[in-house]
Amino acid sequence: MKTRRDFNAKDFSATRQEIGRLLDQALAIAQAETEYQGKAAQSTSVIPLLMAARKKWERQSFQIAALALAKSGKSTLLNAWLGDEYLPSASTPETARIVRIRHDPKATAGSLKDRDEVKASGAQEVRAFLRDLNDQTRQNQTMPPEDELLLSAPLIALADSEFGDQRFELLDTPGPNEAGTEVLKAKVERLLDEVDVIVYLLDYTKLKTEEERLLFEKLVSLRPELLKTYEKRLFFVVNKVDEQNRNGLTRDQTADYVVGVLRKQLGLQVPPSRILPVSAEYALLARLVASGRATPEVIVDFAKEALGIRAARNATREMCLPHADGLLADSNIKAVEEAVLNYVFRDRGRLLVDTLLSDHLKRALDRLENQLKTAQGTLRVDQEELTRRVKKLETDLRSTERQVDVVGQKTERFKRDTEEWIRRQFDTFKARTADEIDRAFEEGETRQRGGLASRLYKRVKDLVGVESQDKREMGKQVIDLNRAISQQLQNEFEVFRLDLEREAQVHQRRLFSELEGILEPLARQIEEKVSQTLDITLNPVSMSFATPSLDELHGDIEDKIGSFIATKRKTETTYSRKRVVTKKGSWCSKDEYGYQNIPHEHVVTNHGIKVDKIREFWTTKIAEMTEVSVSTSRKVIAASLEQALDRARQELSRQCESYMATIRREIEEKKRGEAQWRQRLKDVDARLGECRKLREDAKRCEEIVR
Amino acid sequence: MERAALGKSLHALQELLKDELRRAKRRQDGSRKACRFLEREIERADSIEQHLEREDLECAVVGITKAGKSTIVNALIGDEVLPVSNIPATAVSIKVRHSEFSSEPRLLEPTPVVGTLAVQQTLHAICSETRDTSQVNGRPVVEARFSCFKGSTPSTGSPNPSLVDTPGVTEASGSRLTEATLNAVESADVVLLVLNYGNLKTEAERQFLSDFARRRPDFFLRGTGRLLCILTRMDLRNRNGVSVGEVAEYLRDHVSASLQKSLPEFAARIFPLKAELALLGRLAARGHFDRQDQAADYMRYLYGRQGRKNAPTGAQLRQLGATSVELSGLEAIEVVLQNAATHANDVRSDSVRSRLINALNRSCRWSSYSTGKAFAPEVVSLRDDVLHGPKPPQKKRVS
Repeated sequence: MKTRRDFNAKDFSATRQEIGRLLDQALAIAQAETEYQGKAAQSTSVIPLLMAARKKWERQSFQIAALALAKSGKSTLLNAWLGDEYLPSASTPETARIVRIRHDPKATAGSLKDRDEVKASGAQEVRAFLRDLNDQTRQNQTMPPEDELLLSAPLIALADSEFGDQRFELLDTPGPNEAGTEVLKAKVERLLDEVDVIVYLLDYTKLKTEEERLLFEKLVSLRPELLKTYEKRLFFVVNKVDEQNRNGLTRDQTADYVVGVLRKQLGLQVPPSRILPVSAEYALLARLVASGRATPEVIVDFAKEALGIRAARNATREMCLPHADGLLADSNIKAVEEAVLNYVFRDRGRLLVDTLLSDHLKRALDRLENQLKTAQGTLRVDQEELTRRVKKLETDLRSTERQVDVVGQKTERFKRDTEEWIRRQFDTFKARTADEIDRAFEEGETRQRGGLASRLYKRVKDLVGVESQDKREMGKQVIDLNRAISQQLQNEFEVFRLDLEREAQVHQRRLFSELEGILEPLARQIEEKVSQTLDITLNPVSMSFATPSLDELHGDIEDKIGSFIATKRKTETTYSRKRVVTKKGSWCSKDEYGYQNIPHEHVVTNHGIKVDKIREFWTTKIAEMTEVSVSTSRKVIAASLEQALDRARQELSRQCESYMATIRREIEEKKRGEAQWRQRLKDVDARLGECRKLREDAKRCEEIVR
Repeated sequence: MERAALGKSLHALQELLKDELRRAKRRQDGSRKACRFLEREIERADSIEQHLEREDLECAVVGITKAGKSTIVNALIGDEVLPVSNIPATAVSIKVRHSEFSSEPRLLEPTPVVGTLAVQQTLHAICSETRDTSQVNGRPVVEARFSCFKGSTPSTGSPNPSLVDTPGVTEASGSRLTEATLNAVESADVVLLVLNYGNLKTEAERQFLSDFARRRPDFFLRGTGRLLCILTRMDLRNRNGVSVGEVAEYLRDHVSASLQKSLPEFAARIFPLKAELALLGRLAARGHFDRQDQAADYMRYLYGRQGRKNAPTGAQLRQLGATSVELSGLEAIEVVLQNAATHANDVRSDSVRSRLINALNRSCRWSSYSTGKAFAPEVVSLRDDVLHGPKPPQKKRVS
């Protein structure tokens, strides 16, 4: 058996090959069985499950996400890992797009892609591009697009590691306290659901602050199962330790403090050695200077840190170069890379085994074995006896299936709760927005920071102040104001909706886990009955179905809520001028058609009333819109519940059906004659043997990796 | 405006508020909100009265947590009197009073202690105790000599200047510590608003700025000489940093959005500062360091992590220290503070007057919404009196 340290690329590929072989073999047995059993067994086949595992095996990407408060130096750390300044790190936080960094050992200069289109290459270009993107997003106050950008660049620590076809990826996500990133939050959470490892970046200068507490709170809420396996999957890095001076905590004290917080707030027992201090800025500067990629500004910054402010004024690269190694050692970056990047690289075998062997293959084997055992049992039992028993089994299974409807009643309460919850959420939104609109029109009461009201207030004030004789001009202004309100409302609503979706998913997850809890005993019942009938013992097959992803839910709500935004825009015409056709004619001449502009009565003459009307209009509009949204969301929730129940029912009847089909098929087989029957029994025995062997192999494989 | 006249106007406002409260209570037609407003205003008027009678010129140092408030006070004193750490250190407001004659900093309340280190340690103990028990037992008062206040002694009859170091404000608005800091802002004559260059544009900062601007809009609108926006930790500025101009723009936009007013003058009020360098420079300028760790930090600051390690002589150190203080940007702040201390009487009455105008403005705005008919005209006329001086008595028309 090999120790962890020796688990190199060769071993990894060997393990991976082995896993691949096991999957292939299981697939072969399953295919042979399916072929034999014909169409009846198709729906119950384990082939889709194995195919999914196989696909995952082929893709083999490993993902690390960096999570941190804004301004903790996350981008700087990633830059230090990359050895060049790809990501912008200004002194004010702003992240408009999520960037996925893919380790590419062959690339000499990184390149940035947006949906397969190369946008920039080389560190300088990439940085400029990203910065422009952030500026644009901020200036236009638009919602940033959710999809991520892809940066392919080499990671210094993994430059010599042989990856083959595997992918190694880092995710740069906005911090939970970063302003203006509400839209990205849902996306970030979706991404985090898939990552293998999370790096928690703490800020030495922000220890024990309110913001830090927020970050830990987020960690608790994020992924319970990640916490369970935190030993392998969570890393804590304390950045900016270069700011430690005579008054600050030492590195040991810092580690102790973090350990204490983790124990108190999360109930995690993490040894102090796993808290990694680092100075990302030092590491980045040192690497830039050492690699010769340093710009004059970098040289100045390097000199300031390494040689002091007195030397910084007239620093040269020659002056700095001898100190690069020293500063790099000071930064402690190597230890962090060793602990995080190389650790993941070394343990990628175990990560793979964890998901593929322990989860997918084991489940598939359980099912396959049950099928084979049922077949074996059927073939062995006497014909008449069997027919009698199967009849009873059939009625038993039907009654079990019917129990799902009882489950349906149980979920009714859940449905009601969820609906009520949604109602409440919308009510708050409605009240808040209507209130803000109200206040936008009332001078002096609009002090809400950054709120809708303060954004609208200025426009309203402009409009009220203007006394224009040109009615057309005024009409245009009113339309402008309406457009502004509608735009702002749309933004507001977008943010609210994303929040709602996220929460809704949490609710759904809970529902599904409840459903699973109810289905599990039913599945056991079925197995038990089949076992009794055929005098065999079946493996308990875990009942599980995938929770619909946030993406699905997102799409659902999107489809139905689209109408809301459309109706909102129509309002512009309310204040536009009306065109009326007048007809003129006389006895001896043709009729003449003329168009006359009839100005809208309320547009210009009375500003006060007009503004009031707009305000009233929007207030009712918001009420209407939330009403529509509530009913839509209700439908979505009801539909998804229905769907969940349906899925549960299907899962259960599929389970029953699969057993019955196998039994029926084998009875047919028996009728065909002695010789075939013997042959079939031999086949089944052999496959069962193979299954057992596969199981043993999988176990051995797991042991090697651990 | 004279102190007496201010007192008179304030008294008039108090009377008006009390009358209105009595009326509001009698009406009882859903005027609970009105009562709450009036009670709060009466409280605030009382606080203005206390302000008027106060003997010192209070300069409040405020900002969000970890901004570097205590370091600035230490730099102004020129010694490490207040406890500083990378985890939040200050848990209570600490008043540091200027005293021309105390050669060593001394703690007056709650227990008398003399000596820099002893004071620092006692304050540290008080702060950590307060943080643990979350109980505030009065405000510690320290006496120390500020070089910028030199020459302004109580004997000259002007108010004695003092600095109030406040606990950092966190995002949780409305918490006890935040409330205490906002109260300190409200009763301050001069405010040193500390912004951390390394941690700009956070949610907590935006919230605090809005709260501040709402409590004392006069600092941003009228009392431009009494507000110092100190952009500290400028030493963190590197190749990626934003310029001071950009920060000024951001601040102006944010505050003017909070107040719904344009602030053309605001840009001139930002002071970039390297507080740590200033403090170490002040210590170095004495010619020797009391503590070895201070010397080490100073050397690292000047010569970097990898640079020269041998210690300079006393004369060199004095020279270096003076240059450091010059570089740090502390002197510009000291000039403003000194100016405030020389005109302490004017500054204070200006501050009180502004608070009074704020209160009158609030009442005027409120009275235009409320049902009370009698209140509004009186408040408006009182505000006009305070703003433009009392009207000359009208001549009677002779027929």
